[in-house]
Amino acid sequence: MKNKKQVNRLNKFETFVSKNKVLLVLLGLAVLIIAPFVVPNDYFMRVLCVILMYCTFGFGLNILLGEMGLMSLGQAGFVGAGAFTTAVLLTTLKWNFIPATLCGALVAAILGLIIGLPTLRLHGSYLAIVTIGFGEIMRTIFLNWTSVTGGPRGIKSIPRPSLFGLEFNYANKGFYFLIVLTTILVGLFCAALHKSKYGRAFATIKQDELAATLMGIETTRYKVIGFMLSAAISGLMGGYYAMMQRYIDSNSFISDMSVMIVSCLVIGGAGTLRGPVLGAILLVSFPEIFRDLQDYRFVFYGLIMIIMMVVRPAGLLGWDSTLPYQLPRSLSERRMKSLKKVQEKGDTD
Amino acid sequence: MEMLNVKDLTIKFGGLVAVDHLNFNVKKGEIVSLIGPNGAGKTTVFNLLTGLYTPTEGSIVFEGKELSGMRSQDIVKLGIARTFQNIRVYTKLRVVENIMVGSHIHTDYNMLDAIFRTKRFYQQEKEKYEAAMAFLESMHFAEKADMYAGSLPYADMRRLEILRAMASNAKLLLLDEPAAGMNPQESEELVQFISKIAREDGYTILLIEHDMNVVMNVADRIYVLDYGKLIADGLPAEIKTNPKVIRAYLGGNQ
Ligand SMILES: Nc1ncnc2c1ncn2[C@@H]1O[C@H](COP(=O)(O)OP(=O)(O)OP(=O)(O)O)[C@@H](O)[C@H]1O
Ligand SMILES: [Mg+2]
Repeated sequence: MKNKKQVNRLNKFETFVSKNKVLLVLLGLAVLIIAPFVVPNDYFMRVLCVILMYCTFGFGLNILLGEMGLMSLGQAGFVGAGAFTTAVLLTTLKWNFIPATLCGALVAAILGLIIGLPTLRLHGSYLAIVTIGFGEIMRTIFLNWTSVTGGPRGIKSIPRPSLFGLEFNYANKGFYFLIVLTTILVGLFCAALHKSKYGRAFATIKQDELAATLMGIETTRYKVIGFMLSAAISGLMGGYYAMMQRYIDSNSFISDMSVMIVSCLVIGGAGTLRGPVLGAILLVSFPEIFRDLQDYRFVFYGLIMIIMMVVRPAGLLGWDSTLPYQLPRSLSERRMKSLKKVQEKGDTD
Repeated sequence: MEMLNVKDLTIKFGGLVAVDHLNFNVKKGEIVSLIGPNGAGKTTVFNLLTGLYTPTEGSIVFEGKELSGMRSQDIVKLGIARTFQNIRVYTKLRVVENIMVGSHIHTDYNMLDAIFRTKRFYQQEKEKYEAAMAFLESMHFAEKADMYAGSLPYADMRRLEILRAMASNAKLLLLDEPAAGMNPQESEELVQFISKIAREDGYTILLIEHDMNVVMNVADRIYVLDYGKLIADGLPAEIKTNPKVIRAYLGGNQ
């Protein structure tokens, strides 16, 4: 084997990670907790928040692109739907942010259903083109449905989230931690889904839909579920996006955003959760570091994408695990034993 | 009584009658082989049986239920699973995961169970995993459980595809040229394997195969198809000497 060495190295690395999982998770949490205290000002705090948002957008797209191999270039449409819904509920109806963002997610999920159903037979570039169209339609709606979205004037003075009179803002770092929490929850959700029959069904759809159908898998149902979840996740974070910007209009959700979300996955590695995390860190911080190159941002994205496709199509952190099949995490030895006990108890009763 | 009863099965693609008033049956526990020259319509018969195509005419009755018009997924649930002429295992899933995909339709929990990791989720996952491992064990495949299906040798991939079909709790297995691309020793092992699962494990098998050694060694009965029509049927010894069959295979037309 040509790359046996590489496989060995990867195996060592993976073994190390899996052995020190708890430690690494604690380390990651520590970084997340310390980060807002070491950044010099609100501007960098905002960058941190945007990175986390794109992690979540990436998790959302990953269900479609990573798990099922369905390309969506219209994710900004879902983000925008969530953002506008949340913004309207917060401003005109003075709702609390929790039901407001959940409604945003719900509206996006319904849109996911609407776009998912007619595109069930589409794959690859055809689906990509249809989703570009979807994004454009959404943008047009945001621009022209003046009575709800404010049309070209957009929605202003969107309040920060608050709970029991306590506002979550940059000054008290509350807004940041709210986004951290949401991102972690979404990540856990995606991980749980991946390590279940849902993840397996998604994988069969990605690899061979016909064979999946002939194993009795309801491929249509899973694709619709995937579209709805992907949309809901994007819409949920879209609500936070609105509360962060405090002002949104149709220009906030143009195709640049969709392309950026896809880029996060392609660079980091679609089909994993670590991929979008790295992708978001790189792609959000890059233009902040090279401010002078801001205008050429998308030239760079394009270049990076082409280079990645040629050199490492699986993404920087995309690889097939070399470890043996692992049962869902908590189904460890101890868990198995206790389950057995439960069963035995049930048997003797 | 027959397990599978096919009557006047016909499908037309435009002007082409790919399967033409075909009648055949399979009894429980039998190994029946479907043979015929290239393009005879064998795979099309499988596609009809599994609901990928809807017949233009005729009926397919499996254990007393009419299959024509049913969705593929519902047919699988009744107990018919198949393999493909071109291998279609999930190369990027591990062997054991391929088997668990086979038992997907019997994995009974919903999304909330999966997200909140309920007891039902753990019990089902554990049960399906252990069943898959025990099954692989019994098929002498357990040591490959953690390998990616794509990294298996060719013959093992073919075998895995059969195992995956079995894992769906099928009673009737439709095997489309399982010996294709195998060397003589591998096909010999396949013959052993197919006989074993039919004789010992009670599977009923409908087998498309070009390799006459395999067919003659394993089949109880044979149906011969040519241009969508049944031209002969009978025991292997009868088919071997049937002049119509020989003519169809040699392509003569006298
Ligand atoms: N979906 C389809 N549309 C049009 N024609 C089809 C379709 N499926 C099969 N056919 C035609 O039906 C005929 C029978 O094809 P089939 O694949 O069933 O043959 P086969 O007996 O399996 O041959 P082989 O031994 O080469 O696998 C062929 O002429 C084929 O071109
Ligand atoms: Mg064929």
